[in-house]
Amino acid sequence: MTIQTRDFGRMEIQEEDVITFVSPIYGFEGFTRFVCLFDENNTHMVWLQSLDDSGLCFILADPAVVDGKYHPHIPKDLDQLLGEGERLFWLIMVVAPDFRDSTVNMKSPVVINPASCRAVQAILEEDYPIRKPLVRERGDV
Amino acid sequence: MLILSRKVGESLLIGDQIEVKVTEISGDRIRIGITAPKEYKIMRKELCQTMESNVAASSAPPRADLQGLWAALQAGGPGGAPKAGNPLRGGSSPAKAEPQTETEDGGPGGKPPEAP
Repeated sequence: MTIQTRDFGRMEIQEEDVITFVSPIYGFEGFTRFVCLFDENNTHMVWLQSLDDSGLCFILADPAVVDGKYHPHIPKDLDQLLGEGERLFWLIMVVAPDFRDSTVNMKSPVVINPASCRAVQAILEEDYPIRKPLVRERGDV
Repeated sequence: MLILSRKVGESLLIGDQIEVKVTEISGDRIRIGITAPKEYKIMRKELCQTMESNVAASSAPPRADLQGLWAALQAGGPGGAPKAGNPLRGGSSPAKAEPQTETEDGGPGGKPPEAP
């Protein structure tokens, strides 16, 4: 099916690529259906495009960019909602006017089960920052 | 900040309409009961911060900044326009839930794990 995206115009997607949030992205409770847009050359970023509102899109970062050992515990009630399958963690990025000031929310990752195509935003009990600088602490930038 | 000591079952009052009661202590966790008028919105601070962060994240960044981000995130630099699909079952699947073993290229900025 063809969808309208915020950043890339009209795009063709497959029905099986649609991800349903069974627990909402906080503050966006009415928006449950999303699709991931990505570039084959950059697996560290994903555009989480809403199907309910073409103007709504989040940019997600691979946690490995900020923490190679990030594998937090998902609260049990949310974990059950995801169903059987693996859990993929992505961090919602706040892109700053100067991209070097951009942050990711490590406290509240988006967790996706690719088998069930279900997703949640989990607020972790573990002590992770909500605004973790994405770039500043990397030595090679 | 005002700091008070309370035992389980004891409470304190904020103004004359709000009561905060310690109901249970277990390890480093404390259960708190709050009685307040309905018009007071009570939420965990991290939930409120997450909502604020989500709202900030939902505003469209200028493409130029994203190009810079791409370059910063990957030595290969900005790629072409993203395509539709499911990266989760496509050619790559970064950020797996399993504990990631520390390898030479497993650190920040390293290669994402290979697809299964």
